[in-house]
Amino acid sequence: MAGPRDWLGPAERAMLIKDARQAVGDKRILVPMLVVPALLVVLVPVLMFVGLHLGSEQMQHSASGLLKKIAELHPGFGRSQVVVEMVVNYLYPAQFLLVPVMAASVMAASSFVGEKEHKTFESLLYTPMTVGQLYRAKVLGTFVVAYAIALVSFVVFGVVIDLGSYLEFGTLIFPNPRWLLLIFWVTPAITVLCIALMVWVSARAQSFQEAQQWSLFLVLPIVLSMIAQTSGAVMLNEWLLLAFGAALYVVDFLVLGRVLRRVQPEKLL
Amino acid sequence: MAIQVRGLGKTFANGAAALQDIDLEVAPGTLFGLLGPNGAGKTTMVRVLNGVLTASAGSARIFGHDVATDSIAIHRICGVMTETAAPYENLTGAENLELFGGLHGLARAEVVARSDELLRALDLAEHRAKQVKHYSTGMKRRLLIARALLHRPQVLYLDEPTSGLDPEAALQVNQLLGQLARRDGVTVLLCTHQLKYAESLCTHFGFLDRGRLLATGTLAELLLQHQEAPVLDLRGPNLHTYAEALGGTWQDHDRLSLPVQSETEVPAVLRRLLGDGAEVYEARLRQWSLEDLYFAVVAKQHPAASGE
Repeated sequence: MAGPRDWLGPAERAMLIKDARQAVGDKRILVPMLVVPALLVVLVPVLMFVGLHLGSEQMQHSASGLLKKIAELHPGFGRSQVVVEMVVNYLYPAQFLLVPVMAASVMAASSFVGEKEHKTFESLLYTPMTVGQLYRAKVLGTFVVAYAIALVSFVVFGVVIDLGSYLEFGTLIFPNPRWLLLIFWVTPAITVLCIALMVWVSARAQSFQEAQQWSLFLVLPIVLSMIAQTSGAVMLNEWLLLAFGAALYVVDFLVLGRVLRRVQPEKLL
Repeated sequence: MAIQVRGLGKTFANGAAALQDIDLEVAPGTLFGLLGPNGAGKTTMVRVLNGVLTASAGSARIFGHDVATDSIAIHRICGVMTETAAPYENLTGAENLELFGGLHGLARAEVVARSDELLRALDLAEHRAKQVKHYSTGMKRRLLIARALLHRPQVLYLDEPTSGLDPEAALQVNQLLGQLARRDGVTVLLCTHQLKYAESLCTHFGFLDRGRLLATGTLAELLLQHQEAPVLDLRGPNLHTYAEALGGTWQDHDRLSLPVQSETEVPAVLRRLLGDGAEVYEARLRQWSLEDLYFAVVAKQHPAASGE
């Protein structure tokens, strides 16, 4: 395995800066990376509080199975507090994972498949970096940007939730252990998995758009888990997150290692 | 030797043989023109010589470094500019150079100084802060040359470096390449299908056709190897009657081309023609150009195709 020095030498830093600059300079990359978090962590939570404030019946009945279970767990909560608890701590954690998945898949598609599409990768193969070093630098660069977006989204989400909660109930409810586990344990793992998938895709897809379609394989399980959660079939808790994160790390280790070992420059030209 | 190739072959997974049994030696400081049409195998050759593609047969060494096992050392001493290795369009010209300086392990101050020097030499200094997507084709090509030269390579591979450049910029690039080879001892492998351009710039040549290297050497050596004699071009209304007897070619209604051993044979040929009643309006001895030689060598390989 590569040590920390191998992961971030001067050449790797140069690659990291390049990938970040490219992302900022390309609307195809920048817009989806910013729009999805903006919708998920600002607009939807704000609409939730506005809906609650206006007393929307539909919202309170939309997940009645889950609501009942949460009400049983928190007998002291009022109806609105139960709804906020449901959205913030049961429905939203899975939904939030769309932020790193989206950011990592867009960034990785650009970093790996975009190079192939724009015929820029070959120039990197003529530098004194091994293909392994190039890929590690790209994985790291993609991870740093995608995780930074997830962290900023986490902070913004926290501010919106606490602001709404304070105005509605006079209390601050964010962050809590569940969300801390989500951002510091599960999010890095799912970000790496998404990047590993894109590295694998990079040998097969010919264009940025084609590579993007592959990210559905990660979005789909998240959407399914959201549905399972809404129905109350699965009750999210910290142990579940810990186990889910651990499983993801094992998969990451196996998949990323295997994918990086099997990179063939000839397939990238 | 700067470049030493023995029995090199490359066959792709689909069975296409891009290179076959290539033998080549290029001495340090040589401006070598690798000539051939599109699809001849020039880009594959550059990729194999840089270890980017794995050879299917044979071996190649660059200043003693084996391309199969020591490609990183080769990348430190080689600069490559090919049409298939594009610049980053969303970065500026300076940022492109900064990236590759970093990847070559150059210190930041060195990258800045070297970039300035190259961008000035290639007339790109005032466009350094512009994103490459706003560059013209010629500007992009010059930036690729700057990128290939950034780390002061000992061997430089250039694929059609002046294609798309205006005559002034092309001259500037050619002067720079000549200077690199003569003053700095850089070995230049120039891949092109522009034969006249190669003849004006290179000292040594290799004819690559359908993955085979048909001939190598200086123009004089190639002429000697292929025993190609000069041609006497004659113009006159009744010269066609002498074409068969003299082994010449009749064309354009009034032109006869006759092969001669050397210029000393010309007076005798003319005397014979005039004595036989030929009307000669014009006579000119034409030495073989690289282009003539190239087509003659290729035609010998594919006699059926050349006769069509």
